[in-house]
Amino acid sequence: MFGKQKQNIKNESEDYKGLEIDGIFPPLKKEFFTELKEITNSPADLIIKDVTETITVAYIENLVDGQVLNDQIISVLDKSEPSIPEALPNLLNIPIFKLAGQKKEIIYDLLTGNVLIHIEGYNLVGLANIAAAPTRSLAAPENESQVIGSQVGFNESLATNISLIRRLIRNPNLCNEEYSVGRQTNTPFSVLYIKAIAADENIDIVRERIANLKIEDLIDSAMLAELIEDNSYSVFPQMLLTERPDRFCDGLLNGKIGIIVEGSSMAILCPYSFVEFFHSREEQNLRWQLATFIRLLRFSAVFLSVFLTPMYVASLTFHYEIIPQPLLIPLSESRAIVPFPPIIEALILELIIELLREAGARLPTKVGQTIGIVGGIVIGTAAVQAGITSNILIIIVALCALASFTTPNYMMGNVIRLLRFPIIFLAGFWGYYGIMLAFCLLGIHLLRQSSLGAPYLSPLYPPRILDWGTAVIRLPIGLLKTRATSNGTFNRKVHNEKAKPQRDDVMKE
Amino acid sequence: MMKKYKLIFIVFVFMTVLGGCAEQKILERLSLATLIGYDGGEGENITATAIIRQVNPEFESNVETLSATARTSKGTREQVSAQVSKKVTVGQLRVVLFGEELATAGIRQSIYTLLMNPEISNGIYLGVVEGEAKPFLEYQYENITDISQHIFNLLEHNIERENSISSTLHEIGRDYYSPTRQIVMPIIKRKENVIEITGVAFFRSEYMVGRLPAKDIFYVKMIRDGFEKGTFELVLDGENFESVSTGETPEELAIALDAIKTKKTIKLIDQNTPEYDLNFKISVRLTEIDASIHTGDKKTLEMLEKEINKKMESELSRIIQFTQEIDSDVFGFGEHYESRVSDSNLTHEELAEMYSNMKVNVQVKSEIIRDGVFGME
Repeated sequence: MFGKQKQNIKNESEDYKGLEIDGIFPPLKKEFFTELKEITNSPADLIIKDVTETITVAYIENLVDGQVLNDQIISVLDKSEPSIPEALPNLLNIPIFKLAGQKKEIIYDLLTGNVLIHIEGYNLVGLANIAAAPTRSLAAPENESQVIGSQVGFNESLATNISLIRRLIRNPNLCNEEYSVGRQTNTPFSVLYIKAIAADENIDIVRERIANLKIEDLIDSAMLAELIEDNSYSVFPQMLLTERPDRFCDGLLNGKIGIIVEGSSMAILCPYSFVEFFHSREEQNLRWQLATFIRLLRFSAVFLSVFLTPMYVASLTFHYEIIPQPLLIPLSESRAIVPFPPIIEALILELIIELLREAGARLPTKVGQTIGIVGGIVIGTAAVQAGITSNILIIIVALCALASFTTPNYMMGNVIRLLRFPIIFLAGFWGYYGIMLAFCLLGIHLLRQSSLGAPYLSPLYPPRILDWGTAVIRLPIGLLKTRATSNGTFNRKVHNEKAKPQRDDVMKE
Repeated sequence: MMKKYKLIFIVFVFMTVLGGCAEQKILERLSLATLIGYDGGEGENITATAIIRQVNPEFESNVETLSATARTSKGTREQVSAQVSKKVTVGQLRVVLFGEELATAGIRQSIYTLLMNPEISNGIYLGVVEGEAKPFLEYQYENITDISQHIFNLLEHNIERENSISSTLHEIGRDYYSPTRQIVMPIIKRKENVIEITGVAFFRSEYMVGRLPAKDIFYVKMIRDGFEKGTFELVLDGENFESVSTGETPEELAIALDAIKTKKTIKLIDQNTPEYDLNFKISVRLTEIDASIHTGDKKTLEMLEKEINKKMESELSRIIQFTQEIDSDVFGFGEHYESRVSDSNLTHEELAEMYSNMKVNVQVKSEIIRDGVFGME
């Protein structure tokens, strides 16, 4: 039975071709628009308007700028009455204007905010792009906030996002390849990279993966990232989703490839290694000592966040020998009133923290503040007094949660928190042996992953000591002589020379 | 693919099923033995006195002293187990003490069982109690709530400050199983309501054969491990200082020194006797001296150094002579000999016997590199 169903699905997927419209429209007005209506299923917002007897315009009501339509198109056409479509480009003062004859092209352009100008007797029509897409104004990125640095984030418009990037990188080598995907949605997206810095292989891989995409719809870039990732089944993201133009451009300049999807405020950057997920753009703006300290702090926070609660569970369940003597009495005394074994105790508290976090994320900001009070006072204090958890575990769990929030990438932060649960189970079943097992499995899994074919754990493994200057610590800009190898770029040399004439030198001149 | 899922399934089944096999030792459901004292009992029996910490739900933990007599240490554990409400475990054991009588009769079995038990850390301290361990541990000390922690801290800080010989299980095991080295342990004793380190016990093989008072621990330690830090006191002959003294010189001139650096060199100069040169180069800080001696003068310092050398040489020689008399090679001269003279063809018994006939020339070269500020540290 299952086999049969599978067969059906397979046949369907072979039929995947997208919207199928071929051929050209008939030249006569009446037939032309009848067929147009037929293909578009005569939507209510399709306006067909006769300007003169021979000239007709058609557009989708809410997609075009009405003012421009009236001033620049209808009034001009009314006045000059062109008789052939070839005269239209010179006549109309519209920046994006083209002549088209293919049905498919005409229909798609109509649906993206073009005005169709038809002249009786011709199947070649003029298409004037006067799209007025509703967009949100630029705002500060909420998920990746930083103290020092630019405070602008992407919005949902592809055009705006690309203009943001072009403003940061004014370089003819910044390539922009536009594609669209999704049988139902036809979502356009741009692949951006800097020629001669981005590795050709990587660009080819991205192109190929996009070409092989067969999907129904694409609503957000996260979906696209999942579809073109090396291993979609892994819990670890292999491509970065960022809403910061500066971080995006930083990636491009280091040889990464960026993808921006229309309708999504998150841009994709690839290839991206595990270590880089724990970087923040802000570190580039801080003094290098400070940035290095913060970065190392964050790495240790990750380790703590994953292993501290399991270590508590393992130590108290199996390995009481390793508890240092000064800790022994406070630990056992606070545990004495708890009726559960440590694993249940830890799971309860971890779940509470996760619930609090989830509730805080879903609620509006103003209500969200009460969550803090509920979490802090009610659960924290009451749980201990009721004898459900021990004081020390509350501290540990809070510390773990705090540590996981230091990860600048929201996705990775969530992964870090999720990883704890299986490790807590293993610690509760098998003690430190279980933790070690989890550590090994985690290590093996990470080693097997790749991002666009580049090793995911690079530069830790394979070891690329030269890359540590940017990946593990942050060297001062003046000392950076090479780009990271993990991006596969051949153009590795970076010219960062400090031009700093001394005061004396200037005075002599 | 199907095979892979089957494998994962099997692993999960084993995980849940075998998870129950691992013996849980949940901290607050255990009785933690933190100190054990062994005494010799009637015949082959040994008496174990354990300090056991138990936690009860009223937010308090209490310390109990329980004892039992049996043939084996596991036997005593079972007997102690019958007296407590929670399972007795020894993973948090910090100190093991031996009654003097047992130490004289031999502690081979105890060292063996301690080393063989994986629960027990190799970092625990071993020591000898003057008299019997049981009354020593059962005594109600006025100001000590947890005697095991007290003794552990007492030993630890004195070892840290280099006032006592380090006697961790690891070191004792090493010396015991080395055929050419003998064990030393600190001796502790109750003095009214105070516990103090009163000396150092010397062993030959498993038997305690001699002891020296606490003030000699410094020299024993100096020969065994060198000396890095810590203060010691010397009493010099006052007569020699009359020429440099500004006032009335005391008959015995007591000085306090603080060692900064010690360098020990052993040199075998004669294989047949055998004869050793034992040289010490010590740099010290003078931290206390009689007010009549003016240390600003270089001549005085040189004289002091000379006297210190003389005094220390005689003390060190005395210690070595004592260990030779009781035939306890705690300094590992035999070990040194064996490693240097590869063609000696001596058995370990012969090497051990050789110790009492060794000739050791001690030479101390001291240098006072700081003086004048009598700080504590």
